[in-house]
Amino acid sequence: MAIENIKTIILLMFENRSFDHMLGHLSYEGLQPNADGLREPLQQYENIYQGGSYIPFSIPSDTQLSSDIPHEFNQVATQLARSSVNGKLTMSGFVEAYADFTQENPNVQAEPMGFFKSTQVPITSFLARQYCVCDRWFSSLPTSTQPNRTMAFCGESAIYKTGLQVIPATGNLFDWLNQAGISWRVYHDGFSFFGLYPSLWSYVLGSKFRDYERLYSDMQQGDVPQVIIVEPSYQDAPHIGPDHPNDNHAPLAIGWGEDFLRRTYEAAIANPAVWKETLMVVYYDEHGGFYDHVAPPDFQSQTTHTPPFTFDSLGPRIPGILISPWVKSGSVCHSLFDHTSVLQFLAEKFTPGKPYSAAVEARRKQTPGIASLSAALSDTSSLQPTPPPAGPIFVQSALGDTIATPPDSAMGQSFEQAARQMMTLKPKKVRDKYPELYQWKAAVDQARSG
Amino acid sequence: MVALSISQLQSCKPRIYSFTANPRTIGPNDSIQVNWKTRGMATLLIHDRPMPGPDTTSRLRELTLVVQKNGHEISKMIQVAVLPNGITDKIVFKTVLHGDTLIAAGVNNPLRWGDAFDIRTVQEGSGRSLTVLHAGHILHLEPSSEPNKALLGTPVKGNWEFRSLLTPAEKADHRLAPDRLSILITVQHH
Repeated sequence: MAIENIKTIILLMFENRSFDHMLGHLSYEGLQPNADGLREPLQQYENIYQGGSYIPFSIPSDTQLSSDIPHEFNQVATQLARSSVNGKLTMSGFVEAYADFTQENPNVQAEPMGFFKSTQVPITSFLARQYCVCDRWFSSLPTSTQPNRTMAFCGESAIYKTGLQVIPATGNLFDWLNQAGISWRVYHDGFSFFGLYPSLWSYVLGSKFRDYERLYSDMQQGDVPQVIIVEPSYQDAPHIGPDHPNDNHAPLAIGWGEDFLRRTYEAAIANPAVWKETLMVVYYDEHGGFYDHVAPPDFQSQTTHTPPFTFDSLGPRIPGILISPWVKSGSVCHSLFDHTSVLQFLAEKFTPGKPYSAAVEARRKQTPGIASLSAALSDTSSLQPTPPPAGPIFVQSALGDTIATPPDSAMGQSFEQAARQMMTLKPKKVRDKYPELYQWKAAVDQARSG
Repeated sequence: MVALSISQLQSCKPRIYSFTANPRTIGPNDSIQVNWKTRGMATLLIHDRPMPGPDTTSRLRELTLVVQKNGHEISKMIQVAVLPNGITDKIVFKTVLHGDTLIAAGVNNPLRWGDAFDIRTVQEGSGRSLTVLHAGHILHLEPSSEPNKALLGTPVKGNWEFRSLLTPAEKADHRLAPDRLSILITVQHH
């Protein structure tokens, strides 16, 4: 059984891109015809805004966008566009949500409708074609970052939208791993997203959270825990100096994230003995407001808050790639996944017969049921890893971009508040773990004092 | 010192307060009025390229405003469609159900179409019988029929309404009913 041969699981969650936006080219360019991406005629994916028809288009070049793309709960509802006539999610409101958000008349080629060519996302495309691409992986909830990341690492969520708020971490993965006696580590390239959960600060400031720069060396030397979470540098997090976000959150150019993905994959294959027992999972928290053509299935979810907030579908599709000697090379997995498929798989692997949690198990038992990642594994191993494309990736750069003005997004405000509170309440540990925050705080306070 | 110098630069980085171009659809010999308000040195780049898709006669004029200040650069791009006479386009709205009638109605984007384009012909676009209401006219369109000139000279922009009766199968199962209705138009420039 493939699952028994996997000893190390690496989880890398990026931010805010849809399946069609990143991987729609697989079928469009004929690189992976079995993947459910985009196909001619593109008119079949029409979005509607004020009588006009808006069609997906190939993005001319990878540049910083002029703004973020809307993806909060109400905006996602507009994007999914459930028909009052036939009750179906029509996926026809992405341009409408964008126009409402920007308060501007959309271009003929409206930004949410753009998709990348394979040459613009060379690492993502390479990994999707070389290993297993999942074309039915939906974000857990039809809403934004905080609820979806909470679902991904807790299996349940008390919140239904992103805001400047204390996020409960009930059911969190770290507690579960500890209770199950499973070794783990987080490698963070900058301030950790888990800093937004005050109840997890003891972990965030502890020895299991390591700087990302140590990942390759640790992997190469075989200093490898059973579960590794790799965190990119977040667009909304505090930044200073040459540190540049690479989480793929719009309006970022995609090249930064491509290079980060390449470096992480290089670490995963650095040690042949480790590689032959490794499963690396690349996925996204949610679609970020970018168009996808597959309607999420109807699915009942509730927040754990009282009174609960109810969702009636999964969120839009996100890119999901499984990288391992234990997947069939060049395969496409059509099983229904959401972020809790990872938690389901961890339980299947490490606590067989005992589900991750009642909430995750309930998602598996619904109709349609959420599958475990094990559905994509193959008992036939192909042990030799293929090196990633080595060509240069060109991106724009602007140092200190988030210093001068306070963030206007709830995510940015949440990150700043978490960093400041952590520095106040845990100064010694923060100085050890995130020394760059002190220079960031001094620069921010200086820049904003006038 | 490094932090200070970066933050000083940041307080003076470029910004685009506003950037507009009107109209957003023009004929080959029309002018575009472009306005902007920025902080920093602004440069307007103009680039023409073919409109994506099967139509080879239309073009996209891309107006890109690049603003530079203190070594930083930001940009924003507006697309203007340049359409020849007689070009075919589409008007489409989402449906709602009133009794046994599907109704798709709304305002066809006045910012997109401006005042320079009129209707030359209309044709059914959803594969079903439609009643079209526009600019005080009512007409019926059948699938596969020839382009109709009943709306000749009426504006492309503005209020439109399409009506269509449910089929017996759709009456029995609303899941079969369409979520949008559309017509095909040819436009003329004046």
